[in-house]
Amino acid sequence: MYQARKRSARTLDPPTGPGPVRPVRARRLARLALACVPVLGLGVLVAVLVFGNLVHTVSGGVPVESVSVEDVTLAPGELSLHLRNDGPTPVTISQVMVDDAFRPFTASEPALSRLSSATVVVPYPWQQAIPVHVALLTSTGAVISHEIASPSVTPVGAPATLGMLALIGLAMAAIPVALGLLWLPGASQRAVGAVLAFTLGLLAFLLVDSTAEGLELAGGLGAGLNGVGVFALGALGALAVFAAVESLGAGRASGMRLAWLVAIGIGLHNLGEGLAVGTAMRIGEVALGSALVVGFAIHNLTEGVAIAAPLATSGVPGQRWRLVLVAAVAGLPAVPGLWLGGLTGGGVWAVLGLGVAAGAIAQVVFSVGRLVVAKPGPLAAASFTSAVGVMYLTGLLA
Amino acid sequence: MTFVGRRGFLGAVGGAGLVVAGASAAVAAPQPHSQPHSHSHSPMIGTVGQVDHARNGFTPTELRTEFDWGVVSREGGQTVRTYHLTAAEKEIEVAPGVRYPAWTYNGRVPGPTIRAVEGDLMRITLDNATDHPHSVHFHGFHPAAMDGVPGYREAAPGGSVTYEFTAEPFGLHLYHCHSLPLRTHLARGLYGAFIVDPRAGRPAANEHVLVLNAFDTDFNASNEVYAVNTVAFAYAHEPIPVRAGELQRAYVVNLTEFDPLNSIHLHATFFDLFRTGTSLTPHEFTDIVSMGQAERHVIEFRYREPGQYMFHAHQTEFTDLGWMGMFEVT
Repeated sequence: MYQARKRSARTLDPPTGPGPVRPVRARRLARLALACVPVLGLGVLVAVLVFGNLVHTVSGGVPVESVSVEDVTLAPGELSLHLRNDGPTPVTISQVMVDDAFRPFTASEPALSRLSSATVVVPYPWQQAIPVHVALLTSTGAVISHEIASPSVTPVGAPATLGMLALIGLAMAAIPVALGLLWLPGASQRAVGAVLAFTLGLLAFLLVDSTAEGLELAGGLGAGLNGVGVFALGALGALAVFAAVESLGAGRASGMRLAWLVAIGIGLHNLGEGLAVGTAMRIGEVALGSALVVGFAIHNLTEGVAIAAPLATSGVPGQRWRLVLVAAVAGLPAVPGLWLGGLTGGGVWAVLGLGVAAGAIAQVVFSVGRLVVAKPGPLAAASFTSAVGVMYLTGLLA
Repeated sequence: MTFVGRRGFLGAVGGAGLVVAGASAAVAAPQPHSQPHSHSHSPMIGTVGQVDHARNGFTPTELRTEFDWGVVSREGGQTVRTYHLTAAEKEIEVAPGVRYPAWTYNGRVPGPTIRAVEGDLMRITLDNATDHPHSVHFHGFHPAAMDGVPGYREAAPGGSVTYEFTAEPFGLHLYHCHSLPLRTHLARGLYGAFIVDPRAGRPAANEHVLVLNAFDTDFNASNEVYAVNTVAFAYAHEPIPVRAGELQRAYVVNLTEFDPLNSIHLHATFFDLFRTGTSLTPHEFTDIVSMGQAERHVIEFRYREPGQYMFHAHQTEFTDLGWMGMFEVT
């Protein structure tokens, strides 16, 4: 239509400038105008939807209030709830009920606009491990309900707490990974395919594990934060970055290179897992039992094997210190993960971390998978399957 | 302590995001309220802030002490009392900052305390200013045509009906909307106390109307806020002034929905209990009486010494959630 009008205008009003310039400029203008149409059109559409209140007219409903409890911190005699309004409408917290009784409270900001956050502090004589049910009553009478399943004092950033979390991180990830790495294969070239298949099985299981954990946590985040979107952002972003990194060194495929990629993927996984464990410890949902740390430790020993296996393809490098570095990259990220999760309550970060881990591990699975597929056989298949089985069984312990 | 495995452990991190139920029936635009979020006056009050009684259009004292005797006339030697009720929707602040979209008689919950003397002819007109059909169903003697149930004098939206019957028996009764669904019409606030005095009257006393009620603010068929006369902790914020030694008479009506049982318990004194108020001889001398839904009793009591005395439901959850008040004895 635009073109047609342009043409008719030209016939009525012949060009005055040099012949060839005018049509080129017109075409360029037309292209520019067409490029602007979607933006302008979208602007008009949004304006109609927002100012015309069209959606409300159609549904006839009232926007539903939604608030997520992002973090809970417990001090002796006091509960603090960190809230975010993740719904479409402003929310005012008018009263607080704890265990079916109104309780005096203070709110940093009783009226929460969309996506804003506030902290509600309630003096309450809670007891260790006795569940506490908190219900926030909004100005419209709606109830935001939150259960603190097993209350315990929230760790604060004291050096002792940092040290304790670091110890847990070392015990559950760094040390087991390093120990697993000690099983450096003195394997013959015949067995290389089987060893790589074993690694592939471990990694494939970790990929499923990271995805399941990440999506499980994503489901717990408020609807407005779109936890699945956060996970996808982390996973697909990491996949792209890892693919790019691998292509940089293409043609120089070596066992050490592959070991590095595996180590980084596992390191990201442990970062995400550390975040998740730290966050869970912080919000008092569970008390960390020694059995749990033991379970993680055994489970993560196999991650060391996953790093060690690729080295069988090229042999152990001359400089042994590099192995220490690889182990550190794979295992140590659990420590900052625990710090961040345990001290700040990083539900969103845990989802992002596990997403990044899933993306990174997926890329490593492709790389290792290519090598394994090159040398298929019953031994490789059995090796792959037994790796998945080992991961499953050690996972049951934790 | 339960051992939580790695799976459950990690899953426990989330679980916080909750879509809040019930807002669809609530007000269109929640307005930020300016309640001071400081501690309440009394350490016995769990809520924070104050209810704006002026905005509600009624005060706890009015609800407790005012009676609607109707417009009185004589017809053939009989006293005729004419009452006027209007069913209207109104937002009511039931706890500080918490507004409930109530259905009301005459803009208040409970509706006016309708009072007559045994044998009076009563004429009650209901105007329905809402979008739903409503009625008034009185407990007491009356012809079937005056029952105020669907099919028998129900006011259509914008419509009007009149009920006519003789006030009997004497006692403490109630009235409420009987349109369907019944539970909704009661829970939303369409009820009130109905007192029929014996011809010879009762002994002189300081009288109080105490309607036990509660509000399901998030519409999930369980109550969030409990009260006597609608506003949580109203008589704890403003204790009821009485004199030591003076006879007190309370007309206690249980109009709590969703919870089958409520009760009233007085601290530091005992009361004569007149069940349903239909006898002038007390049934019992006690300090607590349990009441099923729509049960009501007249209680008479005195305080011996000055001081502040609590009264509350002995369903202790209700006490903590707003059904608690004080008598200030001087």
